[in-house]
Order: sequence, then structure tokens, then C-alpha cells
Amino acid sequence: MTETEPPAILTVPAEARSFQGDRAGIVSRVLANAIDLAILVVVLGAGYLGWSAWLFLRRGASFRFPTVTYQGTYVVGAIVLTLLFTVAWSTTGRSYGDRLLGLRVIGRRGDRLGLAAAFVRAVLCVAFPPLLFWAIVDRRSVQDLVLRTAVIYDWAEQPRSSPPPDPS
Amino acid sequence: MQAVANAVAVEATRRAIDLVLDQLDLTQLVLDHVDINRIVASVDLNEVVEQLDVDAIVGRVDLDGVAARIDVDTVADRLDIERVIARLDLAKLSLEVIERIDLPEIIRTSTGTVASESVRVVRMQTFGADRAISGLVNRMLGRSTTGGSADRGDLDATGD
Repeated sequence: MTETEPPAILTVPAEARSFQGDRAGIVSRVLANAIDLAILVVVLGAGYLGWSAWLFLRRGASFRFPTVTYQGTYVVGAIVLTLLFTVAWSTTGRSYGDRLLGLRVIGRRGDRLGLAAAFVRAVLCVAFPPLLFWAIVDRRSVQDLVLRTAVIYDWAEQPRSSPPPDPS
Repeated sequence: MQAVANAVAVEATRRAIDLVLDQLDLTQLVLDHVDINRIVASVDLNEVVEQLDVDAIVGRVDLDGVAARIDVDTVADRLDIERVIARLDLAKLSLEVIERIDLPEIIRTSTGTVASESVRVVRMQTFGADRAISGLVNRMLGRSTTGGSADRGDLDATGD
């Protein structure tokens, strides 16, 4: 018996299949970002606790919880979020928030972003979050327009097998 | 003169034979006195079959017409499906099917795709909200809202 590819089985619910691959709207994208922000808070909190534990082990009785400034928290948070986004978009194409909302970030050919593109997009998204709201008008944020990326609905676990062609 | 006599004799003989044969049941006679089975056994049927042009014979048969006259339901009714199934090694077959379709992968992807009913509901609701806002903005900007192609992820389709 010749080996052939097993038949593809659609794992996306029937009611959601019609809009898979469409650009995601502002509500989905804001919610996904909110979830990512919540995760960032958890990561920063865990980092703070870990740092405190390390200081406690070092200082013993003279230990005091380290004080953190708003500016310091913002800078560290921005760096961590940039790293999280970069890794997520260049590997699976989706952050955890994107995953929960069934979204995926793709390049102009419909493929996954490279490391450099993912990093630049992450920097732009973290540095200029309000630019996301251009997606209300165009379903593309300013970052998407600049980098020619898109955020699409993609509920499937694996990326869409046939990315849109690039005639250019 | 002799020819006429011969002709008369032949005609008389033929009539006599016809008369005798009419009185006899030849078929019964053959059945009673001829060992047909022995004759048949002595015939090399393979040789006979080899000389037959089976393709030509089959070609003259209207197979579609024959098939159309078959009552498949009746045939199916007469099938002892349970007996057929009993002869199958269902366990082995099931394992082969599972291996072929990669069931664990399907379960894994399905679970990952729709982690839970609540996730699916949230996704559908946010999609509905996305669509509502897009519709509102499109109406405000006087844009056509027909078709979803403008929302597709294929950036180059929109010249982007």
C-alpha cells in the first residue's frame, strides 16, 4: 500500500471556519494585548519575588524588600514584553493572548515573522501602543502598515497551510 | 431404371426410419442407455474453454442492463453482515485506522484549538464585536461592507 498523506481534518468549529484568515478586529486585538499585559504583570511579580528571595538569602537578617521605581518597572516591563512578543511572534506567530483569542501574526506573504521583523514589531508595539487603535479604521495597526504585517483569525493550532500568495 | 429403384428404396427407407423414430422416445432412450456422465468426464473442458473467446461473449452481454436489474437491497438483505464482521480483526483494523489518521495528533490539535467551550464562546463574541465595530466604522466612512475579502490576511490583495 502506498503511503499517502492522511486526510486533513478540520479542527476549527464549523461556525468559525468562514472567517479564518481574515484580519482580526480591534476588540480581539485589544483583549489579546490585555491578556499579554496581565501575563507581563505576573512575570514581573514573579521576577520581583525571585529577586527578593535571592537578596534574602544573601543578606539574611538585614534583608528588606527592594524598592522599585515607576520608571524602573516601566523599563523592565517594556524589555520583558518586547522579548515575550519577539519570541512568540517569531516562533508560533502568537503570544499567549493571541492564542486564547485565536489570533496569529503573519508577514506580508502570510508566513511567520522572522526574528528581526518580530523584534522590530515588538519594539514598535511596546513603544507606541496607541498606534494599535488605527485597526479600528483599517483592521491594521500603524505597526502593521509600516512592517506590512497582519493579525488574522487563526483558531487552528498549526499555522494555515496555504499562506496567501505574494504576487510582487 | 436402377436410379429410379434406388430413389424409391431411399425414400422408402427414410419413411420407415421416420416411422420408427416417431414411435421411439429417443431422449428417454439415451437417458436410459447412455452414460452421459462418462461422456462428459471424457471431455477436456479446459480445452473447450480455451478455444472460447470469452471477451467476445462478455462484450455481447449488456452488463449495465444486468446490473440495473439487480436488486441490491435484496442482495444486501441476504448478506449476513454480522458473520462478515465477525471474520474481521476489528482490533487490528482499529489500530491501523488510528495510526493512519494520527488520532493522537487530532486530539492534541483539537484540544489546543478549542481548549474549552468558554474559550470558543469568548472568541465568537469578540469576533462579533469586531464585526460590529467594523460595520459601524464602515457606515461612518461610507465604505461598502459587502464581502469579507477586504478583511483577508492576504495583504498584497489590497495593495498593501
